[in-house]
Amino acid sequence: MEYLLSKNVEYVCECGLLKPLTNLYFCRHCLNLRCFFCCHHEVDSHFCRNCLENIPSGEAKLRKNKCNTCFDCPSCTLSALSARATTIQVPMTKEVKEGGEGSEIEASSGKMVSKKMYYLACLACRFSSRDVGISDQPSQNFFWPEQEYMHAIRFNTILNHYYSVVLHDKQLKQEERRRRSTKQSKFPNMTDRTGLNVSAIRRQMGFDKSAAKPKSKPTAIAPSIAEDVDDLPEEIFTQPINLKNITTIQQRFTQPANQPESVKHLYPQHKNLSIKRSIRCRHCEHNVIKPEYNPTSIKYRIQQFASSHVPEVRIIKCDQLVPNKSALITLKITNPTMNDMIITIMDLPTEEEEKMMIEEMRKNFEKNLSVSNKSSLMRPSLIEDSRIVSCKITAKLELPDSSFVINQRDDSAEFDDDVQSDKKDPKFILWRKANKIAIQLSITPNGELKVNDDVKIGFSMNFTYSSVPSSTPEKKETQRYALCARIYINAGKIVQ
Amino acid sequence: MSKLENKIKVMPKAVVCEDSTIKGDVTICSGSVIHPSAQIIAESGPIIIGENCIIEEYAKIIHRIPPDHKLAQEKNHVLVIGANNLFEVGSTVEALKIGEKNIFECKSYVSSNVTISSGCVIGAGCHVVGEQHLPENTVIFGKNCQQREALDKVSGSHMLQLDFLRKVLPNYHHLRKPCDIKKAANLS
Amino acid sequence: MPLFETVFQEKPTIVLEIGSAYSKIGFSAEAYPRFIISTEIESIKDVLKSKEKNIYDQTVDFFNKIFFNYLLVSPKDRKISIVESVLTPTIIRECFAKVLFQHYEVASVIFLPLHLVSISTLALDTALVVDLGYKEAVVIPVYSGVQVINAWQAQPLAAEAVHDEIKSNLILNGVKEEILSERIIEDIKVRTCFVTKMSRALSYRNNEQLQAAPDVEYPIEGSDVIKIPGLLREMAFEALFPEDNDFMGLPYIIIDAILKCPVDARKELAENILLIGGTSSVLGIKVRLRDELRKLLKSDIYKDRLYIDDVKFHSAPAKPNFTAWLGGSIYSHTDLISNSITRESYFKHPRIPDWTTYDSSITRSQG
Repeated sequence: MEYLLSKNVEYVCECGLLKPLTNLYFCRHCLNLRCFFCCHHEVDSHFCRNCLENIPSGEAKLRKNKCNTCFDCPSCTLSALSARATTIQVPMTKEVKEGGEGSEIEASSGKMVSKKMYYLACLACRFSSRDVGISDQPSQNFFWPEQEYMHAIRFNTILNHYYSVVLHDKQLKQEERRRRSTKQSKFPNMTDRTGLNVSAIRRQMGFDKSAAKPKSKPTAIAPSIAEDVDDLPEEIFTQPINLKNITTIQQRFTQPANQPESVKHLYPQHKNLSIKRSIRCRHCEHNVIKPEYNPTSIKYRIQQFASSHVPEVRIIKCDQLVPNKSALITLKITNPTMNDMIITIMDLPTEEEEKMMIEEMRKNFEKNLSVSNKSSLMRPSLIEDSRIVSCKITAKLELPDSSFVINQRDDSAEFDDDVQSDKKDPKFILWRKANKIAIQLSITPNGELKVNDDVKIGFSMNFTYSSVPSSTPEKKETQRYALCARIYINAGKIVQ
Repeated sequence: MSKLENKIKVMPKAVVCEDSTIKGDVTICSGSVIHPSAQIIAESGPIIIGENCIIEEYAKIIHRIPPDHKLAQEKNHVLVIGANNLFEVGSTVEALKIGEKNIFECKSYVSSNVTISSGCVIGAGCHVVGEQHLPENTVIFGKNCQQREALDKVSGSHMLQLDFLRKVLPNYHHLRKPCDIKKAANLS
Repeated sequence: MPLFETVFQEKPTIVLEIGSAYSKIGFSAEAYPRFIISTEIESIKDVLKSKEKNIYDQTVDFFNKIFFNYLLVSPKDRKISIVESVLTPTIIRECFAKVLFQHYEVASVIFLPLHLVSISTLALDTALVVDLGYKEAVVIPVYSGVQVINAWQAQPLAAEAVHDEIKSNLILNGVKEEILSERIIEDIKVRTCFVTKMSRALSYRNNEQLQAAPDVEYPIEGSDVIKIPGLLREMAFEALFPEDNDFMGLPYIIIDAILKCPVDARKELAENILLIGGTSSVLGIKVRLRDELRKLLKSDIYKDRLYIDDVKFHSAPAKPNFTAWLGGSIYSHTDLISNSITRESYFKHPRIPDWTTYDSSITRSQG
């Protein structure tokens, strides 16, 4: 994991951020690197991460994005509650335990019958639904008692009140407009004479006029406050408190509606759903990531990870770094594609060039936008400006004097014997193996670096990329492109 | 510390694997199960392990009073561990007083500053160090060692597990012989 | 048919209240927020110190979390209401707008003034709204549905001040500073402290000996157990009631706000006080404020200037920490929301009108 996530070698995303290759996507249509930040995210499907059930988005909305069957522990807020079974002996009398299905039991004979009852328990903090006084339920998927929200009714009256006020306002405005417009009208208006005005039409259509009128304003709460403000209970000054019975703020916020202060009111909470998200390139609106619907599947329908398109650079080793002294760094470059690549290593663009690149990109994008379709003109889609790379180079890199080829990836080649190519490789190439190549370059850290400063080198890597033949007819043939990736490498720290 | 003299008393019906490390004066009451590679070290005084305890692999029970501890002056302090305690894999317990029916979950650590009553649960990975007394039914959980009180009694009956272990362990491990019943009776 | 379009409005507006400590997030027309999460934009706390780009990136990340980890909606083409204080720095407001329009491509954004929308939860149009948040206490009177902006009062008398008080007090008592993280101090405050009675606070101030509330043994992450003195439990919130010659304590700024209002509005405001914000959920604060205000009304400074006999407090149908959010939820449900800034108008004028901006070219022209 450390190896995969190491931040020693970072690629410049199109938007100007530096990211390790494993965090980048590659848009096959724009042939550019994209990252989490500069892509467009979308909710693809909802699912519960506990029971792994796919929940259609309409239903998810209805259920307020909560799972019907799974519960979160309100006490430790980090794990799901699991249903535990106990068996109780139910005597065959009428006094069946609360919640038991009486009829079912009565059908059997008059013996003691063991019956499974369920309660919810947390395996991390030993919270159980019995702690808060929820009686055991006869079925695992039984409707567990929910909490009432005490202000619900009051909230609804207020909501309706304001809604009606606004509606009323609107009506008045419309009437006003209608009156004004009739005055301005040059043509005779029949409705005035026939008595067919809006209200009449409304009545004909079945809308009762009075219903649309604002209801009488709900009585404002103007409590005489002197009673409302309760004095501090005297025992607070004398009674010791038990910290274990007072909830923490995190526990309170798991139940935003009631925010209980005592652990006795920590009720099991329905688990929140999770989403699968698809990620879309902002420039061409094509997906770079699209997951499969099935929640249990971790595969993708579309996956354009940069690591399967762009040659990967890794540090093998680096000599000790001393200011103004050249040192050798060995890099391994891997070709992940099925085609041979020609790689040229060049200097990074200067700041002016970088600015020009950004400018050009924007122009390109605007051009595309105006060409593509009219609808996007209605909703201007604005791309954030790319940034200038924030990393500063602190060492001089001696570039290799020629381009070189990396062989294609061939999964069967692993089993072949090492076959040395007969081509004579330039001197800076240490070795090549299948689709990997090791090159050795010399770097000279800048003079002003101090001990423990990072030595950063950077280069542009031009590589040839052959597009995978796609299903669309006009792109049947593989096309070759020359692409460029900017790479920043943290070679290590200065030593004494 | 001087070299410890091993005085191990295993009561009948206790299952004590020979591969466990037991040092010092340790009494294991009947019904307890001690897994291989568990460690029980009685440095500062005897340890008496109550009935029906389970001490799992890599669990450590150490009776070691640090020199600056308030009990350091006391001679012959005995660490009495109550009945029905469960020491899970990798837990380290240095507490000097342990009641009954406690559960020490995996990789938990309890220092000698803590005294533990009954029915407590020390959650997995929790380090309880500060000087305190855990009242009955305390549950410590989470990475911040949050405390709560189990309102519903922790029904930590592990009889089924005990029965199973008593059956299975002797098939695969050498056991320590229990000592003479009479002698044991004298001791207790 | 503009009359009925709201009935069939498919997607509820997303209502956000981004506080300096906690953010309340949810949907319009719901009685409580879906989540209350801690605000993970460091720069909001220290806006002046950080660069704009920094805030932008953090806001993008935080909103990403809000939309995709909590609310689970694609923000594209959604309507957003943001409940915020009128005193919010412009830089933050513009940053939010930029993030939402540019990065998330939302359909429209409306900024709702926190104090004004809070009183809609009372179905009133006149109240003196006291917002006790994390950073500061802000008092703004609302009269007949209009915020009396020139009477606003703000002082850094809120959660942060209380936290500082607790921290310094515990350090004085010999607790190591390293273990007192912000999270622990907040926990101590929430679980042990309360606002004591005025009479007791007075006696403490006069160095009278009183039997303080019981001490509390507080375990810190299993590593230590510290003692929270009863005196601290009672006096932590005295940070909100400083007694000095500046006369800038919480009761003073409330009275000052009333004083700055027209004479005929004063009595009504004093009898309609609404406390909102997380800090006002602490036990005993209402009682204390009532007593302090009553005392001030009779004191020499105000006796001859204010002729008010009594103060009265409302309680909203919500917890104090999301009252403002609830106001936003109610407001967003009505279609007053059509006054919001749309994507198109934002791209024409990438500026967010301030509450005091009267430039008609910028203020929205939709009807």
